[in-house]
Amino acid sequence: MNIISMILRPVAGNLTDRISKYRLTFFGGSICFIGTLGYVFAPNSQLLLLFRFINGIGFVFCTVCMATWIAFLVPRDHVGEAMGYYGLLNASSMALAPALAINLYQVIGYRPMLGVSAAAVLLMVILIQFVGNPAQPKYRPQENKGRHHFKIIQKDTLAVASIMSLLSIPYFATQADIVMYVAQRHLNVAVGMYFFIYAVVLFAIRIALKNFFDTVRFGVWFAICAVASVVYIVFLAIMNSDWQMAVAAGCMALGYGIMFSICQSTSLMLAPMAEQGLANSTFYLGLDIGMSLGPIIGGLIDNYLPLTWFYPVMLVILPIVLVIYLFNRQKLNGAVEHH
Amino acid sequence: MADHQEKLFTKDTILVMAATFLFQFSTMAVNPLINGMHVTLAQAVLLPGSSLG
Repeated sequence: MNIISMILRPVAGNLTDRISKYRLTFFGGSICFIGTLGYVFAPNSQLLLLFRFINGIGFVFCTVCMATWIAFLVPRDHVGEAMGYYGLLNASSMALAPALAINLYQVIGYRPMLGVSAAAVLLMVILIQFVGNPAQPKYRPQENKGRHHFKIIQKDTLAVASIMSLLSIPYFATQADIVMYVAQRHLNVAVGMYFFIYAVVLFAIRIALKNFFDTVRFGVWFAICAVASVVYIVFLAIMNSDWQMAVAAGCMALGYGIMFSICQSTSLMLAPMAEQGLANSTFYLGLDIGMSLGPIIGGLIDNYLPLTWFYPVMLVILPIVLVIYLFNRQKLNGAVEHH
Repeated sequence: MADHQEKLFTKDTILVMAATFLFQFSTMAVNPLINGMHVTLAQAVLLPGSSLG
């Protein structure tokens, strides 16, 4: 699914800037529904794989398009706040849905639980029918004849996407390997609570910050989030009790969860209105790369180094992120003035 | 009709955000199950893990 995402992100971005957000979300949602419904009835693993590909196509279109649709519907000086709530919804679903699915499938089985998932995406397709503004794109083919070509990335957002990509590595390594890490190191912590604490802290921070996302410069957020990232990585490295794990989860919410929303809104504010979809797809492309590299790097560390080095090695990422920020600081700090 | 609303929370933004939550919920609920189902369906496990990607 990650491979499909990386290939199709630019396509989704370009289409988002040319077709109404409603149409593209409807298309992506319908494809997702077909894919998810396919899981329920798949008689063999080959067909399951085929439906996974179908679901992956819909997933790419929906993620790029829905974030752009929200950014289109809100006033430009509230894009940061809107992306903050959007990030919160993502984090909530990432914390709640897997926990519910794992607990429920043990009672009702795989197929009925996948049916619940299909029902959720069907409800999403129904809900968007009631949205009044379909968000027609700014792009006009007759006005841009010969100069609006297919683009892979939105160049103004490349630095933000690179920062997001690197910061995603320890996050997704943690998501993939924290259970193994805790088990192999025989740590006495309630690891099942880790992402629940993350979501709760992110929710609290998001409510407290109100519209600061739209008024505070990128550099301030970057400094806070970099310090929080160092703290959460260090605490994951040394944790041996629940409170240490809770500190790590809370600082991860600040260091990664908040930075996710800041980076997404900054990428939208840096890009011209006619390339908002492409800006979102570039942002998600960075995320896809981090999502793929995180578990790979985690696996390599696990194979070639003692497990106690799993998190300290991740700290190497932060100086690289700092260098990218320093080279682009003027542009990034000016994003809040692009309302 | 103006392209943009003046407030952050309108009927449209609430609907799109609710739709986003449902969509993400659906995706995230599938992720922890799909590999298990893949292995269950595969009599001879040829590609373990490839389904989740």
